Amino acid sequence: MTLTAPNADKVEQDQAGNAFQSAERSPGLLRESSWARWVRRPGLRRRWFRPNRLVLGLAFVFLLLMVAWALFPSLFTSGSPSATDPLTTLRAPSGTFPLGSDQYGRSVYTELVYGARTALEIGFLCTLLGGGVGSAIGVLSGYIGGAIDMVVMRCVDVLMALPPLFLALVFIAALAPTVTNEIIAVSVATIPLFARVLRGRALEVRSRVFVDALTVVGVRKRRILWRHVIPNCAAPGMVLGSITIGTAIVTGASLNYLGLGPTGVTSWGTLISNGQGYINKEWWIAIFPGVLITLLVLSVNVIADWLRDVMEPSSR
Amino acid sequence: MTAPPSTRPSGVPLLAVRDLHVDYRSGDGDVALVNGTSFELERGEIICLVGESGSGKSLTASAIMGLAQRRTRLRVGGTVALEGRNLTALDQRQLRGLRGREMGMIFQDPAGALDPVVPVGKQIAEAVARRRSGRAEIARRVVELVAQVGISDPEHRVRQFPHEISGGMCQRVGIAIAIAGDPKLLLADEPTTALDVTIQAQVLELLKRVRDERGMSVLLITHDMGIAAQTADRIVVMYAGSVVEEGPTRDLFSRPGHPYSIGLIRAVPRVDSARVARLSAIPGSMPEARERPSGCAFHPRCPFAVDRCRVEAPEPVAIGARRVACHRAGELASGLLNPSRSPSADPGEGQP
Repeated sequence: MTLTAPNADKVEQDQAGNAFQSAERSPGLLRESSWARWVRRPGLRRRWFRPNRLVLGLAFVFLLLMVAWALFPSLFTSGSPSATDPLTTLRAPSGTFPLGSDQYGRSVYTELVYGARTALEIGFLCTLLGGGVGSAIGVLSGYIGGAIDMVVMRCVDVLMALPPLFLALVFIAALAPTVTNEIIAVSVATIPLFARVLRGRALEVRSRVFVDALTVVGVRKRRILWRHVIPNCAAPGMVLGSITIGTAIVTGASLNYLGLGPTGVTSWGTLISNGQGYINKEWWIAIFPGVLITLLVLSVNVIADWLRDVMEPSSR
Repeated sequence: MTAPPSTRPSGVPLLAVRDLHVDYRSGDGDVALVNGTSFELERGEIICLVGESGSGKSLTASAIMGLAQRRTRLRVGGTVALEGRNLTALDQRQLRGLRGREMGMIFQDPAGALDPVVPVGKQIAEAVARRRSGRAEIARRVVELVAQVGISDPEHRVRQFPHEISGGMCQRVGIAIAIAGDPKLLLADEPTTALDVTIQAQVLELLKRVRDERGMSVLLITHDMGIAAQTADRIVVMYAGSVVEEGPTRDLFSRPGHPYSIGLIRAVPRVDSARVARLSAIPGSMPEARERPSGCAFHPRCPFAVDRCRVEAPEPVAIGARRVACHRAGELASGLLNPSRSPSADPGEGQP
């Protein structure tokens, strides 16, 4: 195995072929014995040494920093995100206010640090919740098939006709603007895509020969679903999940920007909407949270992309 | 072979397929893919179902296992009697009780028949669990089975994934899974097509050994006459969805009764043939199920076809130990017609 690939074409192809074999066939992520082997397999190691690993590394570092902000904000800033001060409004970036201050005299930096939690919370929780429900609907619908599948998928079609943001908007508008409701709203918005993608996968897995082979041995349908169909659907589910995190962060930030988010919670979306009126002169209020949202979504997507390459090389 | 501990009246074959039909329900009418197949399989016997692609061999197996019935587009008719019990009348839940324990199946694509994300040992264990219980007992039995199908280092192998082992190994695992429940009937749907020749021989040898040791009956589906000659006790030749000839292997090879069987055997190269003869191919190709000709389905390709063949479908007649579905089987058998002078053997002559 070479680490550098001068004649990239051939080696690349070879790697793709190899990785197809190993990644496509062993994404048994859900059990520890297979997990260890999966990590150690050659395809994965080779992919670590691809030229874009710098970008990937930066993405990981940035994501980790954001996670650290979210978990321990007080380690990164001494201020409070809600302490207003009429004497320090609209200060430009300086020693005391690294990223300036907003119209209420709060440090933009402090608000950003505390806002990371909101962003990541929505990104990860909504993906887990919405992705979980969506996957369950999709896999079951695809595996059961028939009339049930028809009805479920027509419902999903209806949801898919609406843009996710609009879907979330409808839900949050109908419910009270609390943190829980915001998470529910964004989760609902992610359900249709998961249902659609995993239904397709389940349909494909169900038609494979090994399902016949298991049937012929007398294995129950339910056991085939749990032990064989679901693990085979895990890889695309995780890939889609990693992509969805970014989308969910944007959707959440959009709701907050539109003022539909919970009140009293620091978030980047709210900060942008606060700074909107000052964008010409006191640009730092709106620009910095915007940059952070962009960077966070970008890192998540870079990681998601890498994950997809590793787990589903055929879809590249 | 050990004598079958049969409490049933002798004379009931292990498997009796009678007038089996599998129809494909398409938008514009039904298409008969398997059209009245009948044959019997005795205990401890290996039967080969031979025929070219699309002759309905695999679908016949699929219907016996009750897999064809799961496809909404297929309709299965006729009877498949396993020890006198009609399987086509059972629902999937009842069939599940028989699968694995009474009948097992081996598939054509050995790797595809295994779940890629589950270690092979666990997959064998699922089949073993049909008969035994208790973790330790199942684990012990899995290792035992793996060793029985000729896989070395069983303790290590059972922890591997299908992509980590070769196609031949996968097929051995497939056989282990199929025999785990000690079925009486083993269906093997082209088990060696995806394997290379040396592995093929080993797998066939393994099948024979399994038959000898466990007294299983094997229904082997193949398009390879060589495999049939080497493995089968009896051969059933299928053409366009129905059986054209059936008989003991030796008889069928030395004195094939149906023009199609004659053509099939002629098309096989032989090492021991006395003179260097041209291999002959059967002219034309098998009609599609939708465009099956009237009368005998083989008549457009048959060198002996007469007017009667074009209108009337032949019923099987007994010729010695064989059953031949041909109007002119009697004449062929008595030597009134010389197959070796037929156009299929010698492209130089015209249609008689």
